[in-house]
Amino acid sequence: MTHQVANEIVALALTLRIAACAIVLILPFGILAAYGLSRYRGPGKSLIETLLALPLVLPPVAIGLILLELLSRSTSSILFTWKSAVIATAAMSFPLLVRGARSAFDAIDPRLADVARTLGRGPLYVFWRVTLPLAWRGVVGGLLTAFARALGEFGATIVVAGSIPGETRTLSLAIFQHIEAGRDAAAMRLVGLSLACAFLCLWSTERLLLRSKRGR
Amino acid sequence: MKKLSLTLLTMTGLLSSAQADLTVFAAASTSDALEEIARDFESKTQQKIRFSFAGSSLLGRQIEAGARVDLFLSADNVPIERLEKQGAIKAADHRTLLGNTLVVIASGDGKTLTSPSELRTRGRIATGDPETVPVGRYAKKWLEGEKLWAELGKQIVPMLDVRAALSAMASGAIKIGIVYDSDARSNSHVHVIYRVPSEKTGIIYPVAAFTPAGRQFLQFLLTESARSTFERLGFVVPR
Amino acid sequence: MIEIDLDLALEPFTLQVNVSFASQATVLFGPSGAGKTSLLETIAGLRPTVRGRISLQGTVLFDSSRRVFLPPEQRRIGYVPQEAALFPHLSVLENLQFGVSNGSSPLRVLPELIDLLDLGSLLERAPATLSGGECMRVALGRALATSPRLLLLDEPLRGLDVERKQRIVPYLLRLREAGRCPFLYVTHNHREAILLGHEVVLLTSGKIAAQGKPADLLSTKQYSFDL
Repeated sequence: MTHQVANEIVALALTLRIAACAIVLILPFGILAAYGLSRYRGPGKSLIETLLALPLVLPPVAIGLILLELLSRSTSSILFTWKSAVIATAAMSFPLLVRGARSAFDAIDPRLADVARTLGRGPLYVFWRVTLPLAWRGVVGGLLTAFARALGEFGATIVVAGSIPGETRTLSLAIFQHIEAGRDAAAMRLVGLSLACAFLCLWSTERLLLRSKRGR
Repeated sequence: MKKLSLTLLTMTGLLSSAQADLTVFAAASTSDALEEIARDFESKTQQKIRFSFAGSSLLGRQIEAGARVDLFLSADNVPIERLEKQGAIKAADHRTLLGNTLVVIASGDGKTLTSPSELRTRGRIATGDPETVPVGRYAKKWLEGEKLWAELGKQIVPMLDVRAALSAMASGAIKIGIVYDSDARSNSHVHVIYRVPSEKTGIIYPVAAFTPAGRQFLQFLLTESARSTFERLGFVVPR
Repeated sequence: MIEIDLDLALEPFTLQVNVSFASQATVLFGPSGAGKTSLLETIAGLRPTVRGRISLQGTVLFDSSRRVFLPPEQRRIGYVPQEAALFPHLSVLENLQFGVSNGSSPLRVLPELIDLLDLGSLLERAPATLSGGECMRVALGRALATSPRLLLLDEPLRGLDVERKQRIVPYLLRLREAGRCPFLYVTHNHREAILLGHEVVLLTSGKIAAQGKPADLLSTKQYSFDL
């Protein structure tokens, strides 16, 4: 029993660690992509948006296979290590972060950044002091949604990272393994844990966005 | 609580069994052989077979949960014993169909093993999950017998089934695998570097028929032409 | 002295502007949709355009033939867009200080501006709690705090009721008389143009229709757009 509980804590800690690493990895790119998409008006805009949204609708195992192909070409071996789980998770959560952050950037009056420029401030300063502070709720909201998605990642992870206990066996992989092995009670305990984590993330997102709607 | 998860499990099984005369659940390792034999069977009997190939434990659980199936070919006895305990099958309904040999394989230019203990220096090893997938269970049983499991257990990368272990090796990330002889033969990227003597593993494939149609296909699996197909693809056929 | 010679592609027409003006208060007068706001944005450097040249007090801000394009932050042109566009996440004081850095602009202008625009009692407030007129005064102060060489005002009285308008106008007149910096004032309101402009530039259907003293130009009914 205690051994099992220890295993569950390992799986939970691992899941949180992999999801957190994935989020940290995609955060700068996600914000940049969201901001770029929000401002970009040139040709190919809808093509770029479609490409970015693809991981939302493609089967996760398909993403896994693509990543497997890409990663097997790199010289350093990161496949079937926790790093590959991070990459798979990052790829799957990226579009959610971009979506959340992007709608926040879209909601900002573009004239604010314009005025800030005429006040003698360069684009970078304006981004840090005006655009990002005004979008932060949406960015954090997108981040939490992406994090919730990261916690539940299964399909892409199992293809590129396998299900190695203590290294890549996250909550969802552990649940699957318990079901296969006929340990339904253990599986259900992990389902409860996942549920709690996902609930916390989504609930905080809702609270955050609700508050931002009520006015800043 | 148990009902719910089993119901979810069954969905995959039920969906795949629609619109076929005969539904066969079989261990992933038997897919090449069974598909070849099934083509023969279908042309002779005009009956269509729908297969679901996966890890034997998962298939066993789907049957437990109520998946409609005519024949189940498992890669070890554990799922069959569970089903018997549940009353889903009687002892008379199942028998041993095949045997197999466990082999250690390598991708690229991996050198032959003179002793299993050399695995310690060969890095990570892809095989089935020792807790749930028969090939992993056999691998663990063998390595425990060799007194190597305590060390090598950490090198094991557990996969969903034996075919997933092979694809992990195809990606080049893992150089060593423990699979069945039959799987090693079906894959051109790998070669056998060690054969585990069969008395150390005792691999058997039990088969259980659930319906008259299932029993008919079972009879076909025992014909000489089916047996020679199994043998050609690396299985051991008890005579 | 500002000299402008531009082709500005707008939907559905191209605005051709060739004008220069030197007075302290110039009113850019024209109907809605004449391209007044777009012209202001182009002068501020916020809207790219293909062909043209803009110079301000001898400094070339934009010259397509010589590939010169000064970004907005280097033009030293203050801009007060419609409805003020204050930074909603900053207090009034933080808005006023936004463009004031220790180096470029002397900090002492701020107290003077706070005085000039009667902002003293508003400094700690959030923009969301201000009235439209108060917002406009803060936006004026924010732009002036950077000591610009030219101030662009885009219909600052639009959307305000008569009473509020009457309370803002004295500040604009005070600004004009203080001679702090010349401004270019966009409006389609006849009375504002006469009241505030030393000089009026008339913009209709994609080009400059006339330029001159407000009294001369706007006495005829022909150019009344605010009816």
